[in-house]
Amino acid sequence: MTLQAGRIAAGLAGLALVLVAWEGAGRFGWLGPSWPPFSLVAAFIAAPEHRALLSAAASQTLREAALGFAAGSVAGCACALVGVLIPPAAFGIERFAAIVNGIPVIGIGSLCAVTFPPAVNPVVVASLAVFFMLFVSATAGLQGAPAGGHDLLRVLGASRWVTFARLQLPAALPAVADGLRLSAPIAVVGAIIGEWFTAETGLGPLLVNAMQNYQIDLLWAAALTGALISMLAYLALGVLQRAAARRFLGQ
Amino acid sequence: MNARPWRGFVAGYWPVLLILAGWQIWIVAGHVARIVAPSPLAVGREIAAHPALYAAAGGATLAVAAAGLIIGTALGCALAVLTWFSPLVTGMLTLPAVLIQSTPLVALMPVVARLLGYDERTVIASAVLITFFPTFTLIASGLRALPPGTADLFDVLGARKLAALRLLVLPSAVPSLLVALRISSANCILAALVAEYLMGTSGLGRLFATSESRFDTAAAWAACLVATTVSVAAYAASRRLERAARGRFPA
Amino acid sequence: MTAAAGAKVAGAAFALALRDVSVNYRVERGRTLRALEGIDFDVPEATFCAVIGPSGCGKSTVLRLLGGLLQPTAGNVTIGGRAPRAVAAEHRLGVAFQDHALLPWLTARENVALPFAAVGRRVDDRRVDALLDLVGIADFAAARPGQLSGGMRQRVAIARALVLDPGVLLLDEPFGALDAVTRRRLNLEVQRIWSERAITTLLVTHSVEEAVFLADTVVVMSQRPGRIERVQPVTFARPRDRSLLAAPAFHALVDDLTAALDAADVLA
Repeated sequence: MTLQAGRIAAGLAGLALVLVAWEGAGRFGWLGPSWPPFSLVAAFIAAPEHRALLSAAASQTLREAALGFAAGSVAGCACALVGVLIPPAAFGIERFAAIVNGIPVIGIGSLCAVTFPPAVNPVVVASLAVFFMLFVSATAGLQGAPAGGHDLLRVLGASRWVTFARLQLPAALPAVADGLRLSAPIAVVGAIIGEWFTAETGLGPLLVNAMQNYQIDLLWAAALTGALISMLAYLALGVLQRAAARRFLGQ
Repeated sequence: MNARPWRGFVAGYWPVLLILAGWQIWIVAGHVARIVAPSPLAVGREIAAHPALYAAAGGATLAVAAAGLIIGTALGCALAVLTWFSPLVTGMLTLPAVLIQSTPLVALMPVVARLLGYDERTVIASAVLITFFPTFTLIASGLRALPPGTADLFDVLGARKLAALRLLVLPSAVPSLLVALRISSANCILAALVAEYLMGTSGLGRLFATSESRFDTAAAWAACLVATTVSVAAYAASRRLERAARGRFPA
Repeated sequence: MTAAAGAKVAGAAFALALRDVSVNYRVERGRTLRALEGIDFDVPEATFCAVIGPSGCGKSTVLRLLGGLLQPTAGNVTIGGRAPRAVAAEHRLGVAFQDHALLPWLTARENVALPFAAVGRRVDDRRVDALLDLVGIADFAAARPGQLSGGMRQRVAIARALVLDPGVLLLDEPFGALDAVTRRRLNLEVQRIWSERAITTLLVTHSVEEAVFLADTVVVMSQRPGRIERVQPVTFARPRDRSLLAAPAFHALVDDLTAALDAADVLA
């Protein structure tokens, strides 16, 4: 309990230190004119005229990321189930996942841009990126059930369905929850990169335009906003992951 | 002479072959315009027609990504070892490092491009950034995951802290280092690609961007295919390294 | 003069003494758990002491105190009149744990040689070879811990504990995870090794039979908070061998101590 509190305190102190360093580097120009102090970026975000622009862009990106996240995680889990329930398929599907995982998001973004309507592209890119993550973690979780459990159920003469429902599924849930948490930033990356190719609005175009037009404050504000929505999603899914680990792993 | 390797290939890669076949049929049967999507044969012909171009671009991207991987891994290890002497400092740095990992770092590369300027160094810096944070957090926790009883053993022997670091702590972190390399191997290539694409400096990213702006889809997909191959090869190499070392350094 | 001083140090340099020792653990904010209470006993130089007691009675805490891994809340723990940490700093403590604590990436031989490197000394190859021979694993010197059986790992751990020529040997349930047959064989080995050169030894164990077979003194501890129930001298002649395990006097003492242990295990 006290150890945990100490760790959190140290982490928060470190966070404060990072913000102070960010502020100092900007104030004194250690890293050049493209590094604004934190306070300036925060003030930029807080200003009413910018807030509307940023929140519109962020909510669009967040919506795309969330839709992609939902579609990708359902599809990823479904494919992992197929792989585990039809063992001969598992081998090929695993290789396939490794290869498809190697396709750079940036490539997926452009390939999908010509195939899907512009508005849908970011969602598709995000869902594909999340799909691989969930496929890999769900497969690992389903295959990772303790061997003793398999033996026990076989000795008891349990059916395949019971083995799946009572052993493999509960054993896979913590891994799936972990995959979901790690997919939060991946979904946001997918949505933003998808936007680069087709969208006029959203955080993606905001970032690229600000970069090209030397709008340093806007660039940093957009980046910080993107980082924040991703972090919040990550933290929220972290609560879910810990609950799953507590319930099914006894940690 | 022997039909088995071929059969093994089909068994291992049937989903890939299935998709290639389906793709070719879709293009031919649906009379899809080349500007929308090229057929796999067209992509293959494109690479076969300009092998030197794709090899040079792939080599350039691989080189900067590898440089970034090496620098990022070295920095991550060095900082983790430095902070090993102080659990407090490790605690302070771990929370910011984990939070940064939860951000869509790849999509925030425009900030790095603006900060460092449009050249090769920015591409390497992107790969360093994507490698550094997971390496630091994994090694920092690896340095504290010692085989049971060994810390007490060194204590009772009256070993000096540096001797314990060299003989016990650093070797204990090898499995974490291998995991970090596996995670970073494909990531650093993706980061390099995104940076190259955004700035149009060099390598596969630039090839991809220019082909795309010319609406030369066969060339764009060819660049993407080469990038995927490089990325999968890097991942496979890191996996092989990890497996080879697992016998000696069980996790 | 130098020789006399050396002899004096050698005289009682490694006698163990615990004086009215108590240990409290902090469990949570404001709550403490008393692990040991009023522990007071001596292990004279070059004798073998075994500590037995029910699970969780603090046996291992006694060993950790003597290894300098833990400071007592009250009382005094000394080795030859000095703090255990001072003796550890001179590299004169040997230790073996139940979970062997071998480094998985080193071979058996490298694990035995490890203490030399850990304290910054040149490896004495002849001593390493002699110890590998002594514990009977010379043929497996090149194997890694993952390739060895549990019994062989503990042999390596014992050799490692002896490699720096310790003045005090601390054994924390070293055979606790082994099967009965392997355990008995290793007990015979420890007895043989110890007969060749008597080192002040503290053995923490679950097994009454093991304690009686190996020790000059058996200390019986009670359920938490650990107190001393009984200090039992064991006077069977050394060297002891397999025939002792069948002797009626041996079994009578084992039964007697088992009864004492059962009485100590009853929760107050």
